[in-house]
Amino acid sequence: MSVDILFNLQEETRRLFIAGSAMAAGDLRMTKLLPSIQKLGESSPVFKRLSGAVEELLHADREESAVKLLELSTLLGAILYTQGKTETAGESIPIQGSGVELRTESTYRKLHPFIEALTTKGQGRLEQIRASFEDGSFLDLRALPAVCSALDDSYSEIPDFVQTKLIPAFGRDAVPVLQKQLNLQGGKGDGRRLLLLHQQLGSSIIEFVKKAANSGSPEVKIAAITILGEYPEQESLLQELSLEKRKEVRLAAFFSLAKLGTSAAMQRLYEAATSKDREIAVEPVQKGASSALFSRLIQFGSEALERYSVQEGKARTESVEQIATVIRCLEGSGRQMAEEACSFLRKLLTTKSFLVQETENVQESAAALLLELDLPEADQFAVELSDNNKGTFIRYGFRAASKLMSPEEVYIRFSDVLGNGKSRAAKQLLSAVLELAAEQSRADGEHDGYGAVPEELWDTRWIGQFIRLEQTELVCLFAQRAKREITGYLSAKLQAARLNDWNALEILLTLFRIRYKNAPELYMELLEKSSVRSMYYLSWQHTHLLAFMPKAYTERLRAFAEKVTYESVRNQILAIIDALEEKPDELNEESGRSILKWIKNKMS
Amino acid sequence: MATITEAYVDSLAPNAGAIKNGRELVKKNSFPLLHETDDGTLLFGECKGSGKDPYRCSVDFATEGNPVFRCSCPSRQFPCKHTLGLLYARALGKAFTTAAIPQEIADKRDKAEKREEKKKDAAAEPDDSAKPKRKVNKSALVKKIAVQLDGLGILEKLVLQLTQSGLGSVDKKTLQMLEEQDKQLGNHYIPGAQAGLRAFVIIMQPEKDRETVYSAAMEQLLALKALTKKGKAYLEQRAADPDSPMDIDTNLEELLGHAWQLAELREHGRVQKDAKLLQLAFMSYTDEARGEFADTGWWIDLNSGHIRVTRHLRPFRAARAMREEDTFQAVVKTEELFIYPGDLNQRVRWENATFREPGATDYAAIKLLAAASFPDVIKQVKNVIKNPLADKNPVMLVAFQSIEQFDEKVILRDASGKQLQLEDFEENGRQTTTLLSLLREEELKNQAALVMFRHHLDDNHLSAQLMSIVTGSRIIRLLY
Repeated sequence: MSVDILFNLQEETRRLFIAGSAMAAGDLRMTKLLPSIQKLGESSPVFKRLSGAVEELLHADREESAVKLLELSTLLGAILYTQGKTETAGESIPIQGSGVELRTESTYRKLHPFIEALTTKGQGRLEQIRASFEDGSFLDLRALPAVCSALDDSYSEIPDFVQTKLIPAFGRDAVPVLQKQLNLQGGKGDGRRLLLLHQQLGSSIIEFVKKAANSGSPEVKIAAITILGEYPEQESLLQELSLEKRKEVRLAAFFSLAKLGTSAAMQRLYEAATSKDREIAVEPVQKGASSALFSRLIQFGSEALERYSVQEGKARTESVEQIATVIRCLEGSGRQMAEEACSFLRKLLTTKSFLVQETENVQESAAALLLELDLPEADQFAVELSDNNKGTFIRYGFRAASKLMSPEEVYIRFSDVLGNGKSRAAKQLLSAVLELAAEQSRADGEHDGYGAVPEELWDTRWIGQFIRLEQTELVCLFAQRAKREITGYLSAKLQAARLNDWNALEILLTLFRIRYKNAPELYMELLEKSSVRSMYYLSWQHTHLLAFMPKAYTERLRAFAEKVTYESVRNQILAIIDALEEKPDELNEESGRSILKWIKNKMS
Repeated sequence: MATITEAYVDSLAPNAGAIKNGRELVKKNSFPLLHETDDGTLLFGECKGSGKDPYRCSVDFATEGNPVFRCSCPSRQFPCKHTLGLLYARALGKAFTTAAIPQEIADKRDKAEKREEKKKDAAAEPDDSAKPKRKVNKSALVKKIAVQLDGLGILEKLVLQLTQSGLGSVDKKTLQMLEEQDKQLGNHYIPGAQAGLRAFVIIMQPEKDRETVYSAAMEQLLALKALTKKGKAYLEQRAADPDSPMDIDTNLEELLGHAWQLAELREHGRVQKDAKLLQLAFMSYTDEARGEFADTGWWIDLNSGHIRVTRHLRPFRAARAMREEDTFQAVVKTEELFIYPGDLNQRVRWENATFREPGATDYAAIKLLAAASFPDVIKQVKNVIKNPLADKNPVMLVAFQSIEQFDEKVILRDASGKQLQLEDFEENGRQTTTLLSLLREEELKNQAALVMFRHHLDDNHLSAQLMSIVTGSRIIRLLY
């Protein structure tokens, strides 16, 4: 074939280009080719010229060789360019279209960066993808394969976004691409693909999902199992899968069984929760929230408690674990099982042999569960518990008592525990008070972040105790109005404070809240005595405090602001001061919050 | 004033960044003042910037279809993000209050009007002598040609030297020498040839795998050799006879580095009257050797069926301040279409144009214009690419009957059963064959396809990348 000869010749010229034309004279391999080229030359004038060019190259001296090689190669190239094959032999089949109706009208400037973001690595990609999603330009046929491929991206926020936002927007149109890309032995991305395919195709792919659940890679399997949880008729398969070797797979199967909620599924979960699988069974059981299952577990817990009493060593530890599992399973569903759980917990927490140091964690979670039951008798029991123990249960007892009794009764019952604040029970109580008070103060919408506890819910004597015990945080939370003992205590605490000390800021916010007339002066002093270098940013506390300042202080504030080292902070402070100066006088009388709102409005 | 849509503002923006920044200004409420005049021809407002004073920006719709942007910001980007933001504010339905036109803008309008009148007066004067034919300073031209020839001589010497010593011997030192020589060529008025040498240096960059680049390097040497040979012959002839015309039949002048001016093209009669064009594909690529971005559009001439190319070149240094071209969907009608010398896909430009939405009749017309016989097209392509100086990737519009698949290969088949192999060229950055199976059945049969050709010397086959499919109802842009 003449083309083959030309090809060989092309090979040889390429070799000479690499080696250098200086080596061409009398080149052996080229010489060998010459006769066949000459023979070609007899058939057409072009090949004649070609063979001539080869000859000339073979006889050229060093100087001329380059020109000759270039000439030969140019000629050869021109011939070869006309020889390019375009036909392929064999059977071909028409490509089947899948009828996706997507448009291809996103412009280059929108589409290109989007596809780049989906297919490359580097920063700022998610932002680009979000932008394309928002302006709608992502909905383009050409982006579809890249969008589906991005399910494999290693930066998990991208596949998350793609899975929850982009592909659902493509809807059915994404199906052919997802199907094509899906690899049952693949990774997490393929699990996502399976979920998305099911989202679009529903029960029609159930056979395929079963196959994935049986023979897929673990990630794909987990996705398939999640899907199977929607199909009661697949329960036997799930049962099987719940015995798999891999923990993650079993976990997924437990979740799906919990979703099915049949008695057989519950039986399996019961087995899991009472066997070695108890760790991973807890969450599925919580999710399933089946009363029948809970009942059985409580029964199991009671039995474990009985065993505990007569066991020793390892077996005993095992029983503790079993009890702990039962309690964890019930967490979140306490009210549902209140009666039964209450009697179980009562038994548990009154069993003397159980109330030892080794089981302290379990005791605590049991006490917490007791409160969760929201049952008067459970609360009553919790209060009793706090009496007869050295503090372990006092926080739960206190919480229960707050529900059951009047503020005064609670105070009378618990304040004695405080003593000098050093005992374990006292510390527990203080932290319980703080927990409850912080919860309540968060509900104070008017003072966002520096509110007080609702006055009517607490006995007025508490604050005195806190001042005595120097519990500044609690004093701040309980301060309702500017009484001398409170302001005196808080002002004293401020003496040693520094600018960025959160405690100090909290105290100042409290003083402003209770409208202590010296508060502006105290804040001004704090600002003036502090090092201006230490203000790296303007915290929300400072923003609030500055906004509370009366107009009269603007001059001193300005003097302070001018000294602030960091420009951005300085500008922020100055902006607030500007707003303060413009503040209409009638606002002075109102609460700080409306002033702040007014200033924020002014500055935006 | 027409209603302002977000898409319209997008199309005015010089680049994607400006779109984003403009939109963000609206999002961040950076416009404390938004005004419009009574007659609605002027939008103006103030936009907060980093400085103390806000920027005063305005968009003037006094002349229909040609808004004038004014802004007091110092940005070199035009239109700047503030004026774009103003338009986005409008498009997104922000409230504009009515206000009187500011004095400074009224003044500017007056001035512009006066300018227009002057222009009209000048145009009205029936005075041909006012437009003399451009005179060429012959002695200067001869001098310039001599310098150009000198440059080509240097280049030729380098090519011969490289060929003689072999590509295998090219090392870091050689490349350094070549780069220096390349800088020298900068003084010889042949920027095209200079870029050709730089392309060779880029191909031979040491970090690349040598075996894979030898073929490309060899091609480049052949192209440079052909360029010096043809360029020398052409320039010598022009030096001998400075009155002889410029070469307007091939792309030689452009390859040497001549930047055609519209006036020159007009002088040489390379103007087509009343042309209608529709873009079929668009792509932007980076030309490292020339140091520029090339926004490239492939268009069909709706009268003749020729595939034309627009190339908007943005040198790296100026890229930030230049407008980026983008996909264009409308039919362009222009009274004067300037056509650059070239082979199959001649480059075109226009100054003034009107636009309209394309419709089914356009698509039907395009399908009729597609080449029906693959062998004819292939012959045409081969005839062009065999020239070492030719564009090796010509783009053609072909009519196909079906799209079929061998194991891995995808082909187009024409009405008489002939094949054209499809391939996804890496340089184009996207796979288009993978999209085919997503289309509708009827879109894969008896349609027209815009394809880019490439010959592979290594295994001697000619294949094509599918860029777009034109059906009776739409253009499916597969590439961009």
